Amino acid sequence: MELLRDPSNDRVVKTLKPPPHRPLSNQLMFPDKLKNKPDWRILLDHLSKEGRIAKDDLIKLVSECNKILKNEGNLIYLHDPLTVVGDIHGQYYDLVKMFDVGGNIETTKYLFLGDFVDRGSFSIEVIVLVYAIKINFPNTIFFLRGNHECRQLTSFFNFKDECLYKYDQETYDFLMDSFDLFPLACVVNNKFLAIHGGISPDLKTLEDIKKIDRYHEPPRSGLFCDILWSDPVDNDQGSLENGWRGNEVRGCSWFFGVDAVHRFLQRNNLISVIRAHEAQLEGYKMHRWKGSSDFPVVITIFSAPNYCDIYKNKGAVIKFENNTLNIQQFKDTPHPYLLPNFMDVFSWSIPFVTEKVTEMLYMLLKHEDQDQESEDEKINQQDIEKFKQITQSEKTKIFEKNKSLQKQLSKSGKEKLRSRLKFVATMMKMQKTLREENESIVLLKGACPDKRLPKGLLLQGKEAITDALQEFNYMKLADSINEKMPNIQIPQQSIQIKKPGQSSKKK
Amino acid sequence: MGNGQGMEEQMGTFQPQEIKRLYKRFQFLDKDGSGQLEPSELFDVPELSQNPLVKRVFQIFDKDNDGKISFAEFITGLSSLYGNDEEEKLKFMFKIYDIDQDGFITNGELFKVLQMMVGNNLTDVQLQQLVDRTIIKADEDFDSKISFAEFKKMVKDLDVASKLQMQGV
Repeated sequence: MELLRDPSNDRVVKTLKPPPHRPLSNQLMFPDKLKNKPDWRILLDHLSKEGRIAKDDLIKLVSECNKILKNEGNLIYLHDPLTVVGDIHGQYYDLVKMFDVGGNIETTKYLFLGDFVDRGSFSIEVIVLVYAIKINFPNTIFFLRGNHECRQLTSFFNFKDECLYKYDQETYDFLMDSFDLFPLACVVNNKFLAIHGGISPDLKTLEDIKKIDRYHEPPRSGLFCDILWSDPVDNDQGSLENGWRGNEVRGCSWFFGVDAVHRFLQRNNLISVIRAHEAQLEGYKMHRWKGSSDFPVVITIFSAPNYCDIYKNKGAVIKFENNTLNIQQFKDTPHPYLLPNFMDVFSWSIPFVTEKVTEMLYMLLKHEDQDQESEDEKINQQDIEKFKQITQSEKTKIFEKNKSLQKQLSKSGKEKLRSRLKFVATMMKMQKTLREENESIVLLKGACPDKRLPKGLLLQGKEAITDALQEFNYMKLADSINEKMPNIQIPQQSIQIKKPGQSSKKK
Repeated sequence: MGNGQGMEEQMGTFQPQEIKRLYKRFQFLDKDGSGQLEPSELFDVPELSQNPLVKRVFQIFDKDNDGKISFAEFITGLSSLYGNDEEEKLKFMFKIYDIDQDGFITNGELFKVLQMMVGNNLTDVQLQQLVDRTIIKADEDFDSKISFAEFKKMVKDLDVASKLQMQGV
């Protein structure tokens, strides 16, 4: 696809390739030879260059993938070799790197634990790529639903904004309906339960998962919610009285401890729970609650390196092979620079321009006290002559014309001008604040691109940070408000599952 | 609009007393009494030395491109900002970015004007990425530059006119 051209030959940074100018053509995205399958290789390359795809093609892509997803059960069964991937959060360029590390897309089985979207700014690109490979390899690529794959979180965070910026409300709704189809859990090698968040007091046996009606927005409590939201308790032994505690970090769901996990694993003949949902400095965490010699009963995997551009963590994936488990870490990959909320440069700079222009006019026009003359407001003949002289070349008679058209003024001319200047000064003050707010976001090196990061917190106390873990924990603390379930009521959506020939309806 | 004819409408924005006052101010700025404002007479105003857009505004006021601002150009320039004409203000804003005033904001022009305002806060690569992306978004006829019509569409939600509103409220 053709890149943005430079007809005036004045583009400054010539060493940087510009993005493709037009969306990927339908013929390239869905070549005849592949029938209804997209060319995922072309997409990977096109999206990496910041290329777009047309709305119709996106809808087609999602529709094709939906056909596959809805026929999968709530609980899927997989065997190694297998690569398990944690949170991605819109970090497309890190996803591409992850595929390098996790194994060849054509020959590797992948299980994604959810949280494809939000926080990062390339969630659409993530979705397009993973949907495209799912369509091509339906029996080796699998998704589970994360807590971010829902209307509540995507509208609170930035995925909805990204959809509205790149497409429209209809596209967003279509994607939300698609997320409703994602399976919820996976059993690996008959030994591991893989889910996004964690276990639930309502999860006694695996049958409980199969009974869930999953084709709708996750509820705010109960088994369906817990699978997406719960966390292992944060201490080395996993000790937790009664096994469960309300999860105040999330504002919903539970913390679970070693007793709860152990009970569940024993009853279901499993050895460990694999989950994602929490950022990790090393990209993974082994919760060795039964002591360091035993197999960890919980494993957390997190695949978004340098999360939010500030955590400075590594990403990692789990590689299952021959019944052994390996961790593969990877570092973050540079990505294109974006202003907060996908702001274009006019929206960004025009407030600054208006401030500087009004400031300039104020300075040009303000009167020193000695300039103000004692008050003959009438235009005298001398003034007219003088003015005529200097404007003679333009041959204007406007001064006389104005004199004859002079209107009655409610205020004197001087007062009017003074009030104008006062207004200008106020406008300047207002505009300055607007711009400073925008600028401070830009000035913060590595500020998270979504609008939720509390930048005030970030600016404080950075001097005290001495090492990576401390910095990671500091960032985690600063960002902790964003790990909570937002307090918004979203109506429960549900879709009817398509019977062949029927179109699905949203209730 | 030519310097002569346009002046009629522009003068209509100002009352005679205001024009008189503006002329006195013009004279005050015209330190060497040449009857025209040279660039240094603006740039040397202490409060303006830190304003990165003074040069742009000067060039916009200087309609005949002779490197100086006459009183007519002074009044004409001011009245496009003091009047009520929304289109005039949008045109003024457009001209800030359209350095060679050929009616199109090119990639390089947009970059250079932004760089005046951004300073060292972004790298060249980052700024270039923002510029490329904005042009792709705004460019509807695929000529790789931004016309006034395309510009208006991009900024229609920003209410530029009221932000450049110089009249009393």
